[in-house]
Amino acid sequence: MDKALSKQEDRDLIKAFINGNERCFAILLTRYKTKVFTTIYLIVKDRSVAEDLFQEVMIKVVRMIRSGKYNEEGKFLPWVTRIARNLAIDHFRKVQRNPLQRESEDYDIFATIPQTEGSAEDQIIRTENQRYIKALIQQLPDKQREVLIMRTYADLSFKEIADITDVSINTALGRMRYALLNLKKIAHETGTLAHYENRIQR
Amino acid sequence: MKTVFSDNDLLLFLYDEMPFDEADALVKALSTDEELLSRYEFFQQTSSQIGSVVFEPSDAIIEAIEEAAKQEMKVPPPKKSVWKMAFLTTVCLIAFGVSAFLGTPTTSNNNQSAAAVSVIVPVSSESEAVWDDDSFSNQIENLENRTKALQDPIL
Repeated sequence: MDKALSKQEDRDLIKAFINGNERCFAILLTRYKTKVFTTIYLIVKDRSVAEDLFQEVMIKVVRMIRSGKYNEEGKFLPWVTRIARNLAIDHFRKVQRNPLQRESEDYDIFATIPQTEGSAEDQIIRTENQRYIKALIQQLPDKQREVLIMRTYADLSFKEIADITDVSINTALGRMRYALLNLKKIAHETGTLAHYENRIQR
Repeated sequence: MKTVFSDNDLLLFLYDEMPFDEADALVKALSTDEELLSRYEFFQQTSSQIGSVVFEPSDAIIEAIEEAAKQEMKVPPPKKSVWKMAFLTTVCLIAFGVSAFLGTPTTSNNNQSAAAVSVIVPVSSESEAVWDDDSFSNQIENLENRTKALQDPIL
């Protein structure tokens, strides 16, 4: 039954969920958990905060769907990403108001990497590569990082990003362009790229 | 047909967001323009490198969310009719308040209408003080006497 459900489009799953089929929400969750979580995680930079926000986002999504407030047919992911972004911004505001509540710089990278096929060495290389890239992304200016994350990890179009961030499509494209150029620049300055490229070649 | 392409165009092409006819023109331009090709390769390489990062929430969080969703399913969603009732009640209350406010007598009313209204609306001690004030009655009496004096045919 789940196989048949998992082939259904978002709008059909949402309708079925409103009508009481709770499995449909589980399928939506499975479908988008990686994209939504990666987006949140790369924005807030802290795993435990990201998990709390992810849970908050998903529960809010359930409540809004159930109360009939979801009306963006066929655009479920941009809608969820918008909620996630707003909650992440609220989180930053709270942190600014209460500077004692700081994010921890330490995180267990091994806990964040999905279990995939491959040898132990492959896993370690993959883990290190992810770590380098994450470190590079986190050095970008906020607005560039936001567009890069939404386009690359949340898989939103530039038009959708422009709508969510309330800028023109050309501004969103410009930020993406600078993000990619700056990544290269930061990597060269810190010597991270050479290390990363060596890893790729191995 | 477009022949000059910006970095924004290259990004739209890279992420499959360029209209088909423009994409067709860009492919032709890439085959002849080396500088354009190197810019495109840069964006392609960098975006493919960063695209390999993926993070997953823990299983415990997923289970917690699924459990919360189940709990939400047990709570009946708010019915629209309840909201309608609440809205209509609010409108009625506002309408009643406005009509009561507009129906309050003012000092410009004459004695007859004030008396008529006073039967329906209880008169406050403040308004009673205005109407029963002796000095006010005396002033009216003086005015009436002056008017009579002005109308005296001898003057």
